[in-house]
Amino acid sequence: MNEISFNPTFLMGEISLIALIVILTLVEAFQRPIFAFFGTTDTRELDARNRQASRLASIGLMFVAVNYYIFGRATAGEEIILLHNSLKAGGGMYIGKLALMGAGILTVLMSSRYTLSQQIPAMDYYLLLCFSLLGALTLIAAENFLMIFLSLEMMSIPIYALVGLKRLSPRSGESAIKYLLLGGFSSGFLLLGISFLYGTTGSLVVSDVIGRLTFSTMDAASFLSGLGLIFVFIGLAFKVSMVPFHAWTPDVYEGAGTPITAFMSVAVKLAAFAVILKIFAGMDSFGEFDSVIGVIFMFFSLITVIYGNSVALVQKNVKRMLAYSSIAHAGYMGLALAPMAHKIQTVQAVLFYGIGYIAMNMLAFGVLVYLTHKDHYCETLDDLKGIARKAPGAAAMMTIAMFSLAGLPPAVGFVGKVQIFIQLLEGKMYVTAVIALLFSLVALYFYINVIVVMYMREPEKEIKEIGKQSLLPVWLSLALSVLVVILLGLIPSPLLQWSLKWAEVLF
Amino acid sequence: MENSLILFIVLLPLVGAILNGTVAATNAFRKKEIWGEKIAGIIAFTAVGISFLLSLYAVFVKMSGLEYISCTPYEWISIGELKVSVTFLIDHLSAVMLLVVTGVSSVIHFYSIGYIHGDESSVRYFSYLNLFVFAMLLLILGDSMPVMFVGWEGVGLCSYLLIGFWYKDDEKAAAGKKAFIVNRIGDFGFLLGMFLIFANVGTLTISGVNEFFHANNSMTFFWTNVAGICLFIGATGKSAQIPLYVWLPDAMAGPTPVSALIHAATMVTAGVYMVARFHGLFLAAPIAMNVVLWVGAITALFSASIALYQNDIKKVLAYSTVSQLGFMFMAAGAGAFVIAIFHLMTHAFFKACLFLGSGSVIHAMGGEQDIRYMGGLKQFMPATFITFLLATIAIAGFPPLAGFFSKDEILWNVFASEHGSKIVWFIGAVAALFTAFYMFRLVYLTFYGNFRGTREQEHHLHESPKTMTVPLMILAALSVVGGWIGIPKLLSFGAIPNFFHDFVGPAVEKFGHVHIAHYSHAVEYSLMALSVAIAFAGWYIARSMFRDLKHKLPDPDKYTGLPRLLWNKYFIDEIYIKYIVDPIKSLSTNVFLNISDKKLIDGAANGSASGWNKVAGIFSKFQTGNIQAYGFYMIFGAAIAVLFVLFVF
Repeated sequence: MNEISFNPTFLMGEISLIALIVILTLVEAFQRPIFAFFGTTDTRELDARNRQASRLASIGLMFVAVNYYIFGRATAGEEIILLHNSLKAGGGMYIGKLALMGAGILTVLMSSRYTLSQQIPAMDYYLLLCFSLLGALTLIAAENFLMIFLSLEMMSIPIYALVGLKRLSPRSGESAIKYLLLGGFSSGFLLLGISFLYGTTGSLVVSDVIGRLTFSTMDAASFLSGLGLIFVFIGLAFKVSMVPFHAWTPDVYEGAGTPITAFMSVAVKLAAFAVILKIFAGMDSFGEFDSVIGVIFMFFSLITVIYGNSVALVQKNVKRMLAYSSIAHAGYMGLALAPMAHKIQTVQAVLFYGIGYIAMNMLAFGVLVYLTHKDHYCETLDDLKGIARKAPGAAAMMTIAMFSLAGLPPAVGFVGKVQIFIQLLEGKMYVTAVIALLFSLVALYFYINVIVVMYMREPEKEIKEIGKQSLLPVWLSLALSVLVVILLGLIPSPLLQWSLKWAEVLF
Repeated sequence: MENSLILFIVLLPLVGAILNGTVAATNAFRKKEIWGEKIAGIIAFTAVGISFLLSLYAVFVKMSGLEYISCTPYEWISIGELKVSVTFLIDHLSAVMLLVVTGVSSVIHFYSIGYIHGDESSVRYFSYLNLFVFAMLLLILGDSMPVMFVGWEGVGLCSYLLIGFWYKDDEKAAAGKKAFIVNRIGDFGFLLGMFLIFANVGTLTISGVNEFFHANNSMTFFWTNVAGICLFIGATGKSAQIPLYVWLPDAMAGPTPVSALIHAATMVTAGVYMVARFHGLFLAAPIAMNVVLWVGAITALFSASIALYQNDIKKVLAYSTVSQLGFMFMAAGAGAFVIAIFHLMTHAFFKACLFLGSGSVIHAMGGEQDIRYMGGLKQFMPATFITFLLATIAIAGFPPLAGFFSKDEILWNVFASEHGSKIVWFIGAVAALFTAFYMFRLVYLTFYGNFRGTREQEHHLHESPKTMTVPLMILAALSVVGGWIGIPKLLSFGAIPNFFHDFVGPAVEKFGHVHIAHYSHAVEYSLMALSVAIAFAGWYIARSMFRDLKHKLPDPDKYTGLPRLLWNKYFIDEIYIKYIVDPIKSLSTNVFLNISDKKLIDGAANGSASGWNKVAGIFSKFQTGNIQAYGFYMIFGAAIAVLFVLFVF
């Protein structure tokens, strides 16, 4: 592995994303003065400007994704570490970046309808989204703790703002403040953990820190490093919303705009999990401390699965239900680490699950966005009643999404769950596996309930015609996600290979 | 790819489902339909019909002389040790199922064209029906447990969609949901069994699993039996055995052809098929075999006794199905897998015929299902009557109709097999008596005597159209002759070969053979005579009680004692609701909702919502839905994590 301070070909994706951010900023900042310069005023409505912004952002992001693909393929042959031990690039890293870009693109596609129907100024929105995406992209490549912290904040801070962007809704503001304060709290844990680790090992580079940690002699220093690891775990567990660091999740998911909720639930989760894997699932074992880390992952993941699935049972609001479902999914992903096997298959399983989860959750939220328009806010189960007659296509998509989330074959969620359970079985954690299995059957109830409501209930109020604003991008995002969910469920081997490639480059 | 013919058999129904499904979805948008029920019905029927013809070709031409044929389109999952390829396998066991499923499905698809006529969502109906056949074929032909599980889940989903098909009726949607939830409990067993097997055997292909348990079973006796029982729990869910049978009677809320196809002839027999498929495992697990035997026997008697007092024509048939499935499990539990599959096949013929016949009756009665308001229908609908009567004679066990051979052999095997038991034989004999009685009660109350319905109903009575009566005749003919392929050698003095046994036997006796105790021919003959006598007794009692019904049938609400217990189905539903459903409901609403979830605004505004106050204890203070509380959880979690660390030091 080479250590090069800077090589632009390895960072073309990030560079083009920054370029996009600059372009978006310039357009937003200068279109008024330019209009003024030519003696006219910008008389266009918010709608028209939003449409323009959506077009720019979605085409721009697709271009960035193409860049990631081209340069990622070109540099897949070697792995290098850039910018003085800050970022790793090359190898299979582009898989993870493309997955996150995919989440970003799907979000932007569905946002074009949402910003219109909810009268949100779209350009601000897309700028913040791109910043957050950039944070997520550097987070998964971060090679030292400082970069991890910086990227995590770069990913989170725009999201605090995005959550609060629905200015007319009091819930939106409230949840933004909640998320901000608790997020600050969790960052505190993360920083404390990092400083402990730095104190005991004298390094910030992840691989060095892990290599230098010794737990063979149980002294004060190794106690401190143990605490450091635990605090880092807590800071990251907050981002992936594991119980009991989850409390913000339902409120924020419910309060935020639906596309933002979707983005948070998949991209933030996957990026944070990539870091968790990098730190905890690497090939170097923690010696005697392995059992503690394993127990911690088992305990917190298991209560996350139990809690998330049980509470989701009684939700009336679909976004809130999906929030608890997202908590439960974090639990399943965490469970794979419980055996502390330090195998590449563990990492592969979690990454596979995370990428599959992007597609299925985006699908579920995408249907909600599709059904939401100016006068009809589609959020609760009541809003979905009898929707199958008005929008049979959307109902079918939602059915597929629910199947996949529930882990039923042949959707991608099934293959993901199978891998997690294999990790548990190979680690001989049978009781844990049985409990997790039991609660995934409990989960079936609330996922299938959505299908029941859509297909087998009479609508309470007259369902209005589905609005025609910006339907094409939403359909595009739904079609993309549904294809991924079904195809990768039927033929999972490509994704298995991709996630293996990504897993190889993580350490 | 070798034998890609099999692929066509499996995929044709899927193509039909996709075509009709897409059209059903787009029809909702358009003013003019792309195609209506007629073309949808023809597409669905053609897809399954061709699939049936191809199956015949595959089984009798391609497979002749071979042990099996298989086809592997691709490898589905390959993770570490787990390798699952999508393999479709036709061996002598799945061949029988394949022919029964595609054959009966074709007939019922044809019947549906007449039955569903005029329904606004018939295109969707045919799409579901085809999808069901596809899933069922996956279940039957899949050569590994995960593929089987895909089919297992798929048939469950279709059954559930079809039970709730007329979802305008809340009761029907509720029945669908009940079927779904009860089946999940069964699936839990199936998955657990799969886990156990994978963790110990390391492969999930069916032949690999059977081979393992037959040849070098390194699992302990205890865990082998646990694995068998887990799989059997899965079977009780799908095949409606005690204690998970409760969904099947409610499932009769669906359209009648669906009851005939899914809830009588095919899907509900999947559990029996699964037990036969894993006979290598079950033969290595004697305790599990005993559980299968006893659960089957008790279910057979229990539900037959409920059927004695039911007045809803479809409910009688539903409980009868549960009871007959119990017979099949009795056979499987006694180790007579061939006979279990034989009864599965004959049962598919006569029960499908009975259900379709009841559909024809309900059609003529304008939706009335209560036999107290029927009577004398034989002069109005002779074709339905004759076919219904033939199927009844078959199920009651009169020779030489199909039911006699299979049921008699079940009882004989339970009596004589080393895995069987004389007590179980007795239970089975009583259940057979009940069967003959309730079936003839049904026939006499429906078709004999005077018409007891309203004048308007009488005015509308008519024979059903040809699309409905032709399938009835086909199935009735099969009910008569279907058993002749499995005539025991003893009865024909060896003159006629027992085709069925010779065909299926090698497939299910590959991994061990169950020893049959040696009795003299006299014992066997007298047991056979007793079977016939039982059938006659049941018929005679029913005839003397219901042939010329002079008085009105008593009001069920006035029953006392045993009849009251039977009429109310032993109050099992009520017991389940009171002791299982209600506690879970109150747990989730009172505990989960309250300790976990605060609504955004009211939670933050007043710190405690009304429902919340009910939960006593100190935790209420932390559940104010505000940030301090959420921060506290994090500290609490951190404290737990630090505690774990402290344990090491």
